[in-house]
Amino acid sequence: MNKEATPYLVIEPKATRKNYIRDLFRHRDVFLFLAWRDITVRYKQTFFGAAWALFRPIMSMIVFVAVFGRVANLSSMGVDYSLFVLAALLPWIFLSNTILETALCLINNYNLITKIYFPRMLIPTAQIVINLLDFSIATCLLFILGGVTGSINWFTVLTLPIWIMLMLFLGWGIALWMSAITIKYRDMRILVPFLVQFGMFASPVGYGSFIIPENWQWFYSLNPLVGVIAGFRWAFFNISYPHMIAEMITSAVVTVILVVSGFCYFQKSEAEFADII
Amino acid sequence: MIKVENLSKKYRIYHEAQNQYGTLVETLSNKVKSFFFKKTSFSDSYEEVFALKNLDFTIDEGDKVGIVGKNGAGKSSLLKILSRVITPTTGKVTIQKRISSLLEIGTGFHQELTGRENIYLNGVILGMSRKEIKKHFDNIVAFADVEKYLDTPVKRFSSGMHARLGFAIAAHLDPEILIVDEVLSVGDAEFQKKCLRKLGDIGSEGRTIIFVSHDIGSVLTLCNKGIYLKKGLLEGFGPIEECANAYMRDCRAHDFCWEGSFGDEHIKFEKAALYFGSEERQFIYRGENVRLEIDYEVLKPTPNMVLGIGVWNQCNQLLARSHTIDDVNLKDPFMQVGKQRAVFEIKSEQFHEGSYLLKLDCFIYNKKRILNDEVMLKFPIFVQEKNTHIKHVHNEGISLGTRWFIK
Repeated sequence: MNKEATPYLVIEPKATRKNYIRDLFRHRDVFLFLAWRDITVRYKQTFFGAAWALFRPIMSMIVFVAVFGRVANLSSMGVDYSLFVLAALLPWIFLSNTILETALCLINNYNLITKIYFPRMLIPTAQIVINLLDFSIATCLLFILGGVTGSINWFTVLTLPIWIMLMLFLGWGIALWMSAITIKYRDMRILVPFLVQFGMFASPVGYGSFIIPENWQWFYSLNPLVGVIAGFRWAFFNISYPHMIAEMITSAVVTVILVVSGFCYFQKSEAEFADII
Repeated sequence: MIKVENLSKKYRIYHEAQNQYGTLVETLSNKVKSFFFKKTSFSDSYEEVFALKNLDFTIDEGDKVGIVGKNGAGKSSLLKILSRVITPTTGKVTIQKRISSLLEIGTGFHQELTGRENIYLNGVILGMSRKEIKKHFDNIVAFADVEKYLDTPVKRFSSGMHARLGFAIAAHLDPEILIVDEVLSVGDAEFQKKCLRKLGDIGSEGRTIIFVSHDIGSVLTLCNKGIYLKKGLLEGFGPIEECANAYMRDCRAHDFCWEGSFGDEHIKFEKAALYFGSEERQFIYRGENVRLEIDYEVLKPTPNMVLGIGVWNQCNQLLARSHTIDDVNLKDPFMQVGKQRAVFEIKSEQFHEGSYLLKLDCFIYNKKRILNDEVMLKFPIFVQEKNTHIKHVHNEGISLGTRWFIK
């Protein structure tokens, strides 16, 4: 081999971003297998198996219908309230699972992190893939229910991939932040379940964001879930209201900020993971 | 091939109750405090220690490098930096070829997955491509001897099967540079032998190996170069024998000489020493002639006083002995009054590789034991030939010789 040739690997205190991205590419097989591992393991030794992916949205939907639909009698803009809730539950369950699981994913992979190198980013990213699978199963449910009742707008639903992408990136950004912070501050393990509980009410899951008073709307829509959920409801049922576009744009901007900053923060702190885990 | 320049790794050791993770509140409040009061008073609660300090060396293609050093000398830190698990604090490492590291056997095995699934998972994590794994799959299974359990979750495996499967996968890696930590410390002697043999095979194919072990014997057999780390500093880099020497000198793994004064009214011992090929070397190569010299003074004529030696293994089991009483003609000249020097010749090929204790023995027959463990020497024996087939791992013992014939 030519001595002058570019070295296979240079190890320095600070890895450059270019090399990091090259490493991500080199380890794509590891990513696939981590995702595959977690999918395989997820429902092992469970009686209901993948049916659990349906169980959570259905149960949550029933609770929402019983509590909010009957008692609070919230507006669902002419769509059946249960479907209205389910359309929001899909991204909500995806994102809340992502937050809960990625907070712990690095700690759970302790044995890998202290013994072998691969870009650590692959671990939280693989978590997204698993949750995407659960999400897809639950989405089929909505398509079936919506198709049977005839409430799906088959034209706007073509934009669904856009909202799914937005949800994925939002999930990824949150996952990067959550996992990198939790490894350093274990406080997050306690804080995160609470945040998720709180987030369910701070996001328009059981209600539509159109019931928020007008002068609070800008603040409310800083929650990036608001725009994602608005997108899902618009895609499925063509539910629209004046400030919907603003919500969507805010959500996209917040998502981009989260992903970019999360990527940089994760990459910067990744070097010391093995030391502090 | 591998060029290490000015490599250091620094850790912070925290004192007081505050730990290095810090809770979110502590960090935030410290940030706020340090913003207002300057940060002098908050930073002195830790000290900095160097796990590695200013290492410089170059490993050439085909070198088999053994890293020796005591616990905490930085061996594992160095390997972890080379395998990129941790990042150095300063310095630079340039690696020219594909590198694989084996810091632990079965890294990333998932207990819930089956043996088959884990072969793929572990292989990919170690850096094999799916195609390579498919190609080697049957060999891996055969090497690990787990055909029957391929579709059983790994959590039901015995620890031996676990280790075998882990090593089998690693053994089929195809890197140009292989980094191996003390993986050999797990598993039984049989398994260790198998691992060492495989490493020897990989080495003889001209690949570069970097190997850490506490077992100087296997390092000497496997490696041609050595790195001796002491408290994070590069204490020695060069031929493996020199490094092993330096290491064993510091470890006091041997005790070739005893000097002092011990005895009773009949006899007094002054010195016992082993002499062999080199005065520098800290261990004996199997096969070389070793001379034991004992200086003593017989104070008064004592009938039936016997001088002798016993060789013990590390577990304090007597392996062999020899006494002047063993031969009728020998006894008397050794016990004449006055200063004496007794010489005993040891054939070191009678010992397998390992570390031995040599205890001087002296007693008055049927009456009194004069020496117990007071005069004791310690000598390690290693095999000199670099062979890929390692015959003995951790089994001290007496060799019956090799007088085998076919009839």
